[in-house]
Amino acid sequence: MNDAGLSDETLIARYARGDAGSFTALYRRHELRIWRYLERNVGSRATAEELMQEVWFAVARDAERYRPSARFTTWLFTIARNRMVDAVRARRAHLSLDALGHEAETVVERLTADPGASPLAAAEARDQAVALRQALARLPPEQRDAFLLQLEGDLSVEDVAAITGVSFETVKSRLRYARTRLRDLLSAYA
Amino acid sequence: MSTLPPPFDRSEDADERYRRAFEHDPSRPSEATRRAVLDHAARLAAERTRRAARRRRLMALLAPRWRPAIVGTLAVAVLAGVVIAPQFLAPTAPSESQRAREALPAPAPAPVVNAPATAPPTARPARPSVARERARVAASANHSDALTTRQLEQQADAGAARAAPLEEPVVVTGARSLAQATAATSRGAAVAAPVPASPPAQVDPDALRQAAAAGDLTALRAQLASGGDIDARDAQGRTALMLATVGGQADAVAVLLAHGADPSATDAHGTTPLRAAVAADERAIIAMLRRYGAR
Repeated sequence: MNDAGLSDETLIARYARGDAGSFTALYRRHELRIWRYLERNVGSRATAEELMQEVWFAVARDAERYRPSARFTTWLFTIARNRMVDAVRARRAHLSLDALGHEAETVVERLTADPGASPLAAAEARDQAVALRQALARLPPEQRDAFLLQLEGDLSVEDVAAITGVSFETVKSRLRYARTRLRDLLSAYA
Repeated sequence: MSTLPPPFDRSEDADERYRRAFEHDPSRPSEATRRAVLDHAARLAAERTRRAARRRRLMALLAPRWRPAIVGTLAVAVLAGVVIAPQFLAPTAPSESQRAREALPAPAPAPVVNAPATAPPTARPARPSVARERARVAASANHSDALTTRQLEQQADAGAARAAPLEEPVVVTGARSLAQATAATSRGAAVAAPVPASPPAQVDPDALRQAAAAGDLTALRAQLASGGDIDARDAQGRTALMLATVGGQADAVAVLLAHGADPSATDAHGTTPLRAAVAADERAIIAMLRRYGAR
């Protein structure tokens, strides 16, 4: 049976009954979104790899407890955020590119390594990517978190508020400040 | 001047720039991570499938054709419980002889008969044993009593707590029989150990602790009756009570506490029986230890 037309909620329910293929479909559907959320938040590929495993292990383990009262995406990003916060607390990781050193450069190099791009386009993309990375790194963690949850998770303000445990107005305010700051930081690359 | 953030719509271009900048981001989790996740999920799915199969087998067992038999068996079991349980749970009135014994004043101190020269002074744990043995003797001498030996022992334990200061043990040796011990008991003396024809048992602290740890109540009572140090410790500072607690032997704990074991004796690591019981979640033992003032 083709899993492509099935909802996330159906797939997780099928996996909870023992269908491994449903989990694979879910994973492939959300892999990149979770990966980007984690990697761009923690700024470290190694930490993001560990978190990626922890998040999906938790999804697999707790699949039977999932209740479709909340969207699967909200549940998934809640797990991802909780794991990330725990890891940051435990390892006292620094949520900033400043702590990455050469790894940040590696990320940016990879980001701009488009073999089909012209030198000018590559340079422009590189500039944009570097600027965006730096801008994200300069955001306060709670603003960056809210922004990435909404952009990568495609979540509503209500969902972000539920995941982060703050009020709707607080999330709106964080998102507004984050976007203003990003726009200002990126204005030179219009 | 304005410290308020701009309206929501004005910053929408940040989203566009974010998406454009990372449009060609080739960053992916490694293949090893992907494989680890999917393998783990497949293992869990296989386990769930096995569990579901077991559930199906169980449900098949409970299929309609078996239901009458299962319901009938359960009904018989419940009925048997309803009929039999009251016989064990109903309070038993004390017998005439027991009431008479309790009405008598506490017995006067009695001399030690044939006590060996090296016999230790009265040990604290011996007193409940004395009363307990008296109860056993009384039970064997009076078959018409409705009370069981165990009930008599329990009453004796309670009686011992009341009469202990006035009682002295009688160590029975040589050819003294149980009947002689009964006679001595009737004069107000007590029997220290149920040893009809042998020298007094030697106290073996190891045996006491082993019996406690194994929950062997017969051996435990025999050791306690020999009058040894109930709180003797092993190389790690553990008393019999601690070992019984760690072993989850609630009956042994009850016997030891009734015989005066120190409920707060610590081992070499400073652990008390109460802490050990809490760590093992032995609720019955926790309740008993607390009743005896354990810390």
